[in-house]
Amino acid sequence: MIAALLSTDHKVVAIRAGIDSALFFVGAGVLALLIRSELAQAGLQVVSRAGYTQLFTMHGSTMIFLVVIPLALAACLYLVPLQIGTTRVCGQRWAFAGQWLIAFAGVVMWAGWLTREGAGRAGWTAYDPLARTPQTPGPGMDLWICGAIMATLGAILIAACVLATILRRRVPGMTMLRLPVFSWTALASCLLVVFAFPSLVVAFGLLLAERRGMEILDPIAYQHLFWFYGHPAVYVMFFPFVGMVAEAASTFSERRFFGYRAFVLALLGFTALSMSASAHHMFTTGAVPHLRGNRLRARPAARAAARRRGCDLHSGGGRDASGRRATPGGGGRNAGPAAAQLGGYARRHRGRHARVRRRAHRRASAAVARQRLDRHRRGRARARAARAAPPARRRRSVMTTITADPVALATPAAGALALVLIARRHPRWPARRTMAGVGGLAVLAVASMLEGAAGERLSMHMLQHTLIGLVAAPLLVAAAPVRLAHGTLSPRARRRLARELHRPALRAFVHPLAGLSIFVATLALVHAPPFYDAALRHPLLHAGEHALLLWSAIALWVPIVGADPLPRRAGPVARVGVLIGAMTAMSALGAALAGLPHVAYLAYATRGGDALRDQALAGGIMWVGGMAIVLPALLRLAWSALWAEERAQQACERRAGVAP
Amino acid sequence: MLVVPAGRPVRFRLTSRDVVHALWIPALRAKYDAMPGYVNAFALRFAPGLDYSTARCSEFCGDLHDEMRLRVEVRPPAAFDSWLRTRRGALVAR
Repeated sequence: MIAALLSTDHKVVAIRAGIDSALFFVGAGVLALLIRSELAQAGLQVVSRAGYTQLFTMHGSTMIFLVVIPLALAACLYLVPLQIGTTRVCGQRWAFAGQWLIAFAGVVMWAGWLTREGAGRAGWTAYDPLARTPQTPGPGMDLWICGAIMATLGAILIAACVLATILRRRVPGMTMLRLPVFSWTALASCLLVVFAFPSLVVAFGLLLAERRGMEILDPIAYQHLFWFYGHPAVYVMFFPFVGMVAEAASTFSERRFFGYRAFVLALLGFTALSMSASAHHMFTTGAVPHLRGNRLRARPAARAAARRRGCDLHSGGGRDASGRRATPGGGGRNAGPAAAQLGGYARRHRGRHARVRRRAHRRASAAVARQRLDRHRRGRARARAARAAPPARRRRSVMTTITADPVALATPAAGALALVLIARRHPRWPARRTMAGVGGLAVLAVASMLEGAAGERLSMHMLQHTLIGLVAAPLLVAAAPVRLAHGTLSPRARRRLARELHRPALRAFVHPLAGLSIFVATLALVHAPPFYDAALRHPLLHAGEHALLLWSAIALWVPIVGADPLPRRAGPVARVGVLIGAMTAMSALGAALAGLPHVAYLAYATRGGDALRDQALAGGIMWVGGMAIVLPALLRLAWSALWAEERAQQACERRAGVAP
Repeated sequence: MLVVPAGRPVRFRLTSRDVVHALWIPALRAKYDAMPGYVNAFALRFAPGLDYSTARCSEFCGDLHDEMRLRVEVRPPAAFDSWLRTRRGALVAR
């Protein structure tokens, strides 16, 4: 018995995790039955309002954090080692710790029922202002948050263990492209858990700090963190079960699994996309770029006021089962979301000066009404005039601001000509490399033509930067200029080139981590408002900014593309990791810019037009556009690494004479 | 209660004083969040003859979330204008 509780064998751990899930499933089922019996008739019969809120919050979060996700991971932990031919998983104590962490998480979360205010009751999303202490008081909510954090950490531990096992402990000869279908779904789920779940730990950790009175979180920032976890979590609850169905169907129909490679590619695509598609959960906020065109602006005064007010939204008029107020005094403070504010307003305006203030308020509102009427009339007069004579377009279109600076165009053209001439001197230089180089230089030329438009609009400037960093730079790197020079130089020059290439500084420059850090640091520097504004004022600094962008992007892409000779070739996992890191940095910056409720850069605030909307568009270009370029690169990288492994294995089998 | 003219664009500036709420008008397929500290600005056009009775808050906002409904009254433009005049007159007179 004790041995079964303390065993680190992957099958025993997985069975324990499965039993935990089953127990919590029964608990969540009881809550669901209570919910259904309450809903059998309109009105409240079985539980109180506060009780009902707790019921659905606890039911939902138990099912997500304690039942479905742990069950999916338990299945992975049990089956994957059997499918890939190993008896020991990597880091079996991690899995052990993860399983027990989830079990205790459930106990902590459910302990909330023992507190006076009841268990967690802010919904499974626990949105920022609602989950704060003034709005949802009581230790039950704290216990709920702690439980969710523990369960998520446990899931991360188990997933890391399964992921490492798939990557490192396959039986010799089992390439990634020969993994059983279920193991692929397990791999995709575990990737999602390892990359996306820490975001929830951060969000809920900040929520806990906020409940202790620290003012850190913002509703929008919280939602970004939450949904970066929340969207992939859906796939973690889905993939392994799809894999099970696929295995069962193919086994019992005695057919090979149809479309295996397409399935694998689709899984990888879903994994990448689901970590980048979280924004659609926030379309209604207006903080992310989308097509409905609503806009978000800051209202700092209101925010401060809301903080000061901080009323309990859970006890409003709510009575617990015995008919007492759920929270002492709470019900008196407010009787509902709208009445709450009115109550607070009236309370503040009671007192000695209230009458004076009311009179002033009346006078002011009459004046405001008169002003509005005037404005309304003026507006209608303007509209009539506009109908009579349609005015010229207010903003210049992009086409009129395209500039063709001869120097900026001649330089890439000369470079392209030189590249073609040098490539002809090389005995066998692949045409695609020359084309990549010419293409990269052409993109640079196009980017230089956007210079005028970039001065007018942030979005065009962002497009220009995206072209430089994500299109021109990888194309130039893919042209393999160093390899070309090495193949066409005289022997003496070649020796000098080799000497230069072995300088320590250059060797460090082409390390994947160095490339990533240079790129992220440049992003941060370039988009810092003081630097950006200064660059827009001084043409020389602006040119330097673009050169910096280009070179930092080249530093990022050199180890990823790997066309030029490198001191140490980075493995596929490192290259994918670097690309994901760069994408995360760009997404975060893009999201921040898209949701920023004020204009970040002074230079654009004074250019007229709707600078804020343009800024949101710029953020969208960086976020979505950057992803549209990096995601295919990511998939291609992963796919070519998988194929390389498969080909090597096939060659090995041909040599041994066991090829099919 | 929201009184709006039929067919004309109505500009909204949506915000919240306490927690995140959402204005949801299913008949218009419109759903916008109201967040403390932010103003969500958008425009809607209310067609006459649709069923607006299902308009309500659609972001869980506490125990009384289920009671947070919104009555929408769409009036013909002329009737709306006269209603607005009387309202404004009342306001100025005060």
